[in-house]
Amino acid sequence: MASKKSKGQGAQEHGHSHEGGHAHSHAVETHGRDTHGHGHDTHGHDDDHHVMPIKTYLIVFSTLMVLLVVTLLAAIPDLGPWNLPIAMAIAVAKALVVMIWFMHLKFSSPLTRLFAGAAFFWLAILFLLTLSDYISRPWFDVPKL
Amino acid sequence: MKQQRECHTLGMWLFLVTELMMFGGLFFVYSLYRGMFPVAFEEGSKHLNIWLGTINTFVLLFSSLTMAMAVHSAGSKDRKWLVRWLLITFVLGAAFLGIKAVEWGVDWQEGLIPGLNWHYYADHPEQAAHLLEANSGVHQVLMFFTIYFCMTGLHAIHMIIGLGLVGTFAVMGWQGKFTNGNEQPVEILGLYWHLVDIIWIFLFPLLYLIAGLMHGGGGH
Repeated sequence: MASKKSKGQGAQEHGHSHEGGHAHSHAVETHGRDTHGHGHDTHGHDDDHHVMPIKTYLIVFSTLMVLLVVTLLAAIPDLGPWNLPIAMAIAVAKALVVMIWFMHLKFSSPLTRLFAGAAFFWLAILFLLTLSDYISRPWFDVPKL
Repeated sequence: MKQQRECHTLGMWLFLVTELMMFGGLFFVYSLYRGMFPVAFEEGSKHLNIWLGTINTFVLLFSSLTMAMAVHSAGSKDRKWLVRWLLITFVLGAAFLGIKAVEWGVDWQEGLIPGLNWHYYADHPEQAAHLLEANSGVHQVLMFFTIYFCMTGLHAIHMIIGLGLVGTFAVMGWQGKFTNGNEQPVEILGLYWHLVDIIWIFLFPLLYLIAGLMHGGGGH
């Protein structure tokens, strides 16, 4: 329903189409292709030239606010070793929401996404390889720092 | 045209990856020392004000929304709203730094600044004795605050640079330089701003929430 509406009404509808939240990712893509009134960049994948509807931004921001409240709530009980992983999981969720929607990775080329993913890949190498040294030291009776 | 746009976006992402590498080093140092001295990190974290940290997280997330709206306005060739959103983003960014400055001021009064004004151990003798015993004689609350100031300081430097750029872009936007079909610079500025936001998203729970919501806060 929402996507039909945006197809039919074109560029004027920017902030107001997509009332049906469930259909909205499809609607946004349709929107992106159909409603560029700028005269250039009308190839099939115009990668970072998307004007998302305002409603999408508001949904993204509300999600971030909910996650902020959840972080605080999760810090109330003493869950022993679980507080940290839970807090980090929520932080990762927030970061992904920001990257996918605010930083437009959803509409970016595969190469751009590869660059974004590479950052976390290298960070994973830094953390996993180095920490595996520190964590395994007690197992082999190596002197501590 | 499409390839040019792609190049610009990709170049900015590459820069952001190097930024993440730089912060990643600090996050690693943090992880290592927190793993070694969990008690000292918990004690240090209790001296941070959780509520100011929460407000700052809200302010920064909100500024990401207004920055995204600025990008949206540039894409829709809406000059007035582009400038308005950029100015709102500027005000929010400045508010963040203002709150951070208040926090650092309190840290100064409490003698929690390593190297410049440090009298934590003098003020908390029993706690200090306990920590020195638990942490094999090394001053590790000092380490927590060193890492705290390195991380929040580097983040604040990025905020200051971001504020300068947002202000410049607001003036240029007012002159109509981004609403003539050349909106990509605003998008790229947005990428930088969102990355600085993402770094804070991780700093907040790691620095402020170590001891839990009920034990920190208050600043003492």
